[in-house]
Amino acid sequence: MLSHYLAVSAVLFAIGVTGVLLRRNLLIVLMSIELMLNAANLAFVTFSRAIGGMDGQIIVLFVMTIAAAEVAVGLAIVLAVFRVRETTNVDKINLLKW
Amino acid sequence: MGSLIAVGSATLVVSRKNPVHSVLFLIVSLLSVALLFLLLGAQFIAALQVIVYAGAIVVLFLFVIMLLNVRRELAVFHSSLAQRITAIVLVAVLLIQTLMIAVASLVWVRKEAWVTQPSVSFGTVQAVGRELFARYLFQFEVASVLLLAAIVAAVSIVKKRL
Repeated sequence: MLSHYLAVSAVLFAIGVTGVLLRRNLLIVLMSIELMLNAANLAFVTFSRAIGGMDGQIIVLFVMTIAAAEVAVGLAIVLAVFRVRETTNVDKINLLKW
Repeated sequence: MGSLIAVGSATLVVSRKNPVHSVLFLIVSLLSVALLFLLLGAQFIAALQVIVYAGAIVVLFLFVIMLLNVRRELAVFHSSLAQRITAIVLVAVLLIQTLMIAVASLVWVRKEAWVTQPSVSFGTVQAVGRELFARYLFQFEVASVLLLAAIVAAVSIVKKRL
């Protein structure tokens, strides 16, 4: 049944949300963002199968492209921040904090 | 079975102290999501998932972990109380939605609104390509410009001397 895939997508997204909110290591946060994007991809493909059209899979292709671009830029930012701060702890990267 | 592996490995991704362990469990969860794509009949997307996600993005993560020599953490969760409460509330909302999906599938949706047998060319490369280059051609070109922007951004952020 296709609703099982939607439930798995929701649970994966929830796990990604906990990873983003509760982990302090910046790399784990980026990995949790990838998990959330994967959950969204799963939902898209599920609905594409339900409707029978190919639009969902095209969107998944674009989401994967965007995720790859975002990971590249995000890791570049991690490298640049690490050069200055010598840490990957998000609590210590707080120059912009009010 | 595939969904159990996906959920289990995802839980392990966010909960390991050693970031290399987290990357390995990320590989497992990405591959299990690719398996779920295969079960749904989307072969091209499953292959793309393995090649792009588990092949390229995870390698990028491993590169950065090795470059920065990220150590094993002392404790996994030391976030503030407000963050923990927000996380618990959000996760509770999402899991209630999961429950609602499960209940709706059992109780309300009586007639099969889902297409049970898709066409033979449902997830093939030809079908995806036909849609991509006919209806979504502009978006495809814009995606290539986006990749160019990402390359330029990544290189310019990391360069030491312009």
